[in-house]
Amino acid sequence: MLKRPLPPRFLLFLQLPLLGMGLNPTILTPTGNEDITAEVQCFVFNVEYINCTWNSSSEPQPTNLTLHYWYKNSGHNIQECGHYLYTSEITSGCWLGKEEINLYQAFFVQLQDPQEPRRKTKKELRLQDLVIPWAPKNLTLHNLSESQIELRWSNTYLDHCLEHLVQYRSDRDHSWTEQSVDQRRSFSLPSVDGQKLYTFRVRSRHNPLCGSAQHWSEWSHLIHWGSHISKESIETPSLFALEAVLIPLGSMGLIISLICVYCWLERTMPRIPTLKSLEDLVTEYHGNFSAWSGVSKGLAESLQPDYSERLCHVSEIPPKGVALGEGPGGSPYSHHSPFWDPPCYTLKPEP
Amino acid sequence: MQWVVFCLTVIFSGVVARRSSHQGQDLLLIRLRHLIDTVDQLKSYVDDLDPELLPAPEDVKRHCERSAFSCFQKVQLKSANPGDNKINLLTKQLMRKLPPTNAERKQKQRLMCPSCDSYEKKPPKEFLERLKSLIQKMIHQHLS
Repeated sequence: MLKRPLPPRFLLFLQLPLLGMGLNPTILTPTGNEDITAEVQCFVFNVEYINCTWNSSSEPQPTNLTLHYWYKNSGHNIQECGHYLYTSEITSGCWLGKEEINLYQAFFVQLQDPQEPRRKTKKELRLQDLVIPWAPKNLTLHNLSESQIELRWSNTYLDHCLEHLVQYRSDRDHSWTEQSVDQRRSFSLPSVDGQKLYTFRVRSRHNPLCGSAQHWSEWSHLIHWGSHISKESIETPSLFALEAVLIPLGSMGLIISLICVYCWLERTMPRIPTLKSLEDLVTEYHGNFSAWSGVSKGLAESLQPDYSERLCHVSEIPPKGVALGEGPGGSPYSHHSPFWDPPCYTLKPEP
Repeated sequence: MQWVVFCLTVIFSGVVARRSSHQGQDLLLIRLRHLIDTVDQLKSYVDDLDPELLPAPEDVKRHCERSAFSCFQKVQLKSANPGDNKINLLTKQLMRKLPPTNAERKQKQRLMCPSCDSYEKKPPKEFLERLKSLIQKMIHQHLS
C-alpha cells in the first residue's frame, strides 16, 4: 500500500524559511575573514599630536570604522581612539594627543568594522619617520658684508634633528634656486646685486639624524631683500633700451667731435718748430722756411701783402741860392716853386 | 712664583679638559651620523647579504641603548658572496667602538640591560631598519 504523499501545506511551511533567508542579504553573503580595503595613514605633526586618516569610500558600503592603537612594549595595552574625525558623518580619522606619542617605539594601528569584527586591518608604524614639523618661522636677513647676506630662521621643534631646504630667486629670475642646508639654521648668499629684489623661503624635514621622514613641512612665509627700483626698470623696458642706445652713441659722438676739432686745429695752428729740426732747415729744406715750418702754401700766400702803396720822399725845401745836389733816390733837385709834387714811386709786392 | 705656576696649571688643565669634553660630544655625533650613512649603504646591498636571521633589538628601554648597539655590533653581517669587499668594509665600520659621553663617564652603576640573546631575530633587511632606528634614537637623546 502506497504511503500518502505530504500535503502541499507542509511544503509551503518549508518554503517560507527558505524565502526569508533569501530576503536577508547578511546571511547569504559569505562571512569569510575579509580585510578592510581602506588604508590608514598617520602623521606626527611637530611631535604635538598624531592624525591618522582613512578613506571609507573604498569600502563596499559606508561604515563607521573604528581605530585601535597600541605600542609593542606596552604589553599590548590596546586602546580605542578617543577623538574621531568625521567626513559626511562617517568616521574618517583619529586625533591622538602628545601624551600618546612615543617616537622610537613600534606603534600599531588597527581599523575594524564594528559590525563585522573579523573585518580588520593592522599596520605597524615608525613614528620617527612620520614626523612633519611646522614651517620655519622668524625669517630674518643680515648683511654680512657689502655683497653678502645671511638668512636665519627658527623652528619650534628640536631643530638639530631637522634638515632644511632654502629657495630663493630675484625679480629677474623665472624659477626658484634651491639649496639644501643641514642642521644649521642659516644660509648665506655670497654675492648679491643691490639693484635686484630677492625673495627667500624655507621648509624643514625630520631627516636623517633623528628620523627618516619623507614629507617636508609647509613653506615658510616669504621674506624679501633688495632694491625696489629694479622693479621699475622692468616695468619700463623702453627707458632702459633708450639709455642703452643714447649713452654709447653720445659717447661716440663726443669722441668724434673731439677728433675733428683736433684735426681742424692742427690745420689752422702751425706747430712750433723744435730746435732739433733747425738743422733740417739748412740740409733738407735749403733755407725754405715756409716748407720747413709746415706752414701751408696757401697760408704763406695769404700772409703776403696784396696791396700797393705809393711812397713819396718828402724833404724840406732848401733856401734860395743853395747849390742843388742829388737827393736820395737819384732825383736831382731843381728850382721849385713852393707848390711842387714830390717824387713818388709805387712799392709792388714781390712775385 | 710657585703659586703663580700652580694657578696657571690649574687654569690650563681646566681649559684642556673642557675642550676635550666638547670634542668628545661632537665626535660621538659625527660617528653616529657616519653610522647612519653606513647602514643606508648596507641597505642598498641587502639582497647580497646572507639571509641568516640575526638578533635585532627593538624598543630598547632607556639607558640600554649602548648595550643594544653592542648587540648589533656583535652580529657579523655576512655577504652571500664571500669575496665581496664592499660589504666587508661596511660591516667593519659598524664594529668601531663609540666614543663615551660625560653621562657614561659619570655613571658608576651598570644598569641591568637585556642580553643580546633575548632580542627577537630578524632577516637582514629588518635588522638594518632596527639598527638605523636605534642610532636615530641615540642621536635624538644626545641632542635633547
